[in-house]
Amino acid sequence: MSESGKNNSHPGKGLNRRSFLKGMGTGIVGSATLSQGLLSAAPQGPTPSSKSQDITSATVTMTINGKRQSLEVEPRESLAHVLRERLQLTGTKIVCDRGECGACTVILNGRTVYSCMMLALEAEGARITTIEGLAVGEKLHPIQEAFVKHDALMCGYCTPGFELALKGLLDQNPNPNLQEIKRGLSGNICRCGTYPHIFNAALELAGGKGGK
Amino acid sequence: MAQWKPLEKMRYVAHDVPRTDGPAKVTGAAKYTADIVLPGMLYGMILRSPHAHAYVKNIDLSGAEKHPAVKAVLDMNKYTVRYYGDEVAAVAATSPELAEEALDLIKVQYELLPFVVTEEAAMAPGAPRIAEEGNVSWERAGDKAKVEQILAGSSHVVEADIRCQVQVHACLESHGAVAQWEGDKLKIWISTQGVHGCREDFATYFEIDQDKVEVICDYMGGGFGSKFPVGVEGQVAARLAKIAGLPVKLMLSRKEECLAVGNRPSANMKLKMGGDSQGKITALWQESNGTGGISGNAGFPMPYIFAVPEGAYYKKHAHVRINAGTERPFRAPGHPMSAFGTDIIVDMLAEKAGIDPLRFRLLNDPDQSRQKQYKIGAERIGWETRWNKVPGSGSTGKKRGVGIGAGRWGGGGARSTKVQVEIFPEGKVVVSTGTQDLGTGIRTLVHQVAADILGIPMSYVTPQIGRTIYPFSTGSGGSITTGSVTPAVNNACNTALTRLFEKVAPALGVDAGDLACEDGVIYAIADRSKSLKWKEATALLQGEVLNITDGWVEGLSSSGVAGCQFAEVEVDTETGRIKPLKYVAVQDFGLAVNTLTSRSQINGAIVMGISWCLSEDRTMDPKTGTMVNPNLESYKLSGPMEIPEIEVIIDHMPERGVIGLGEPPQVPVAGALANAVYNATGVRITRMPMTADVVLQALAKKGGA
Repeated sequence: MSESGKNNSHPGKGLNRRSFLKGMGTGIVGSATLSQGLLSAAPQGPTPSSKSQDITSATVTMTINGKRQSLEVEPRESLAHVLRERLQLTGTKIVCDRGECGACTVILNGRTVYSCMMLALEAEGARITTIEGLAVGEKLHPIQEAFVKHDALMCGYCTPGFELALKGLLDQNPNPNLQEIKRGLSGNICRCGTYPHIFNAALELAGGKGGK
Repeated sequence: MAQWKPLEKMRYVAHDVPRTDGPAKVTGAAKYTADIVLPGMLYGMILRSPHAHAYVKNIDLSGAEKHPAVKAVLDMNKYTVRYYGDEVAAVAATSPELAEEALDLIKVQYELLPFVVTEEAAMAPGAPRIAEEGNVSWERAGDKAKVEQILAGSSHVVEADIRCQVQVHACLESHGAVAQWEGDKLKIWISTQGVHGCREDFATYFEIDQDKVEVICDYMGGGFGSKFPVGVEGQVAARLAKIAGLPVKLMLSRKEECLAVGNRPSANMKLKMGGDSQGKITALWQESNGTGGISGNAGFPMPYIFAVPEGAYYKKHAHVRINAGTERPFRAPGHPMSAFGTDIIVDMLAEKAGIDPLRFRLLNDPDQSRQKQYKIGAERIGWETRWNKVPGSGSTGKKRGVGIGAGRWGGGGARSTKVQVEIFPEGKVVVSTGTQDLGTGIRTLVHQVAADILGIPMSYVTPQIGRTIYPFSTGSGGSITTGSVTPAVNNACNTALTRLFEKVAPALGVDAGDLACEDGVIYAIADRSKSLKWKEATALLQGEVLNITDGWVEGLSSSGVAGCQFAEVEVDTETGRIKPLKYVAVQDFGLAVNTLTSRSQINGAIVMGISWCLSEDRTMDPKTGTMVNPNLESYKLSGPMEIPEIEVIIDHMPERGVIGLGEPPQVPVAGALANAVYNATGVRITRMPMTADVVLQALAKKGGA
């Protein structure tokens, strides 16, 4: 790797073979110039048309876990990113970053939403509950207690999303059966495959024990 | 040799014990690498090749370098990029959005080269050579002519074309690191299966002493074998941080995760198996290939599970290189493919020989544990009533059937494992070792074992893992973590307890060797009236912290496990949808330290196996050389709706000591499912993933035949 930085002037490590090979022209099939990185080359991906110098920040005011907060965000920042990186509410996870896995689930104005699919600015005035807002002090929420008791988590990365999805389900249907639980959680993915124990936790909470 | 305490003396080991870190995980308090936010932290991002194979003719970094938010730029100095997603350059900027913007400003001129992204294309005559070593490495065993002769003389011969596709690990926490330099010292949070291995890797990479590197992985979001090396992403994070003089977070995107950090190789096999008139296997013939991407490595062990007579096995296997990201170990490397092929061909031979597949296995499987397990599993799934004697003869429309699969695994333990035990005068005990918890529960196991060996409540003990400041522990792979760590915890706690007894024995007027500790009370074995509560005893340390480090000992762990699984499925012959209804898993792993987290492991392995068998498929486009589904939408993982009822039966053998469980239950899943689909429909599907279109085509083919 060779490198360049603003704060130092380390020489590149190792021989840069490119300059040596330039002009050799062996095995030419064609050539192409990369104008966009892979990430932005994806048709569904973000294509930032505006450059940083054009971007002005904006103020967004949200009530998060009962606390009203105003902060400056860039218009293109997702709600998930702002929760995680600016407010350090990192229980909200980013996994797929495009609304496929549910790890970023939060409850916004009473509904579960994928926070990676929303701009922070769209949450202006919203009431948001993240996983950090479920427990009251040291006292775990019944959903959290049930998850621990039934070992409804392994690596734990999907866990906050599943808990909030379950809260969303129980808030609407306090007494779901197994099939309704599966359907209610079907916007979330767990790679460790903890599902059977998540169902056990949910079934224990069915019948109004899911708390508020 | 050391021995475990008798089970009846243990309050936590061999019980259901909720995870020690459960509360931290359910509240969002657990900090994973991706969650680390440091003051002034930059965001690193990697520019990747949009081509499957090309020379990098020229790279112009100046646009990125001039960007006001960019603090570091790296050229990977690649002469050739060898797959779609290969690393080319990297930047660190003040936000992820700005880093992405800066990547757009890097101009790369490529000279395209011919590529291959399928096994067939790589092996075809005249295929472009994509690696100096050639596209194919051959692996051979046995004498083809001799084996064919045995087959010709066998009473029954069956053959099958089996396909196992490439599977990506899809860890929910992506690969990545947060790097921070303090002078010449590197502090790095990294999502890894081996903190100590990473320390060595970084020290080697930066040519510094290992004591200059501190690696931290308090929590990690899944690895499944893909997170041993520090990887390019780890190196780049540390390198960018060094250049910028600021901390850098570099976590891969979902797309990068699919392209560049490992996968389970494919396995395409043509198998022939012979049997005699008594139903004994006579020979196995195998011609196969598989790809592990650009490195080619794609092996799987055969013959598997069943005894094949000496000299009656022939193999010709091609490890095929293609222009795709390289393989990495993936939960029981090789074995799920071995089992899938074997379980199917054995099922076919049983039918040809007119023998119930359950009885056929009992006849041919030499493993005594599995002999017992097959019977347990068959009873639990209801084999006698649910197995269709004539496959596909059940009800019309939605058809049901059952099938069997089997697996084995090694495990074992690393002698190099060390554990530190500190007993504080106020009674608190801190047990530290540099292992890491992938989600398997080892933090909880350390906690349980320490409490039981010391004879005190778990609430007195704090386990500490996941950092190189703790004593050496090995990487978590091969299902050796439990077999490495818990014997060392056991031994270190015993040593610490002996030292504590020496301190308190005079106060009780007995010899240290005559003391024991149970339920938080230290007492003289011969006279229980001579006793001290734990905290009274530790108070006698008088300000001194008892601190010992000890290591792994023989006798507390072993290796080699057996398991079998029974699946019941329902196949909708109208839609082609396969619905697993029930799994019964019977699994041996010696002494089950935590029966609750063990059930989670087995559940999870079955879910992952179903997902592989029914829906996951890394799809490469032969025209463009790109992966067309690098996301979680079209690379489909099993979700809540696809989960069957799972019954776990722990074949408990505490006398064997501890043995790891992470990998073995992954092995039999797909074979059991394939055999159940056949039993339900009478149609043999031997290619994964068994998506609805594959099922419908197979059904139509049979209907038309």
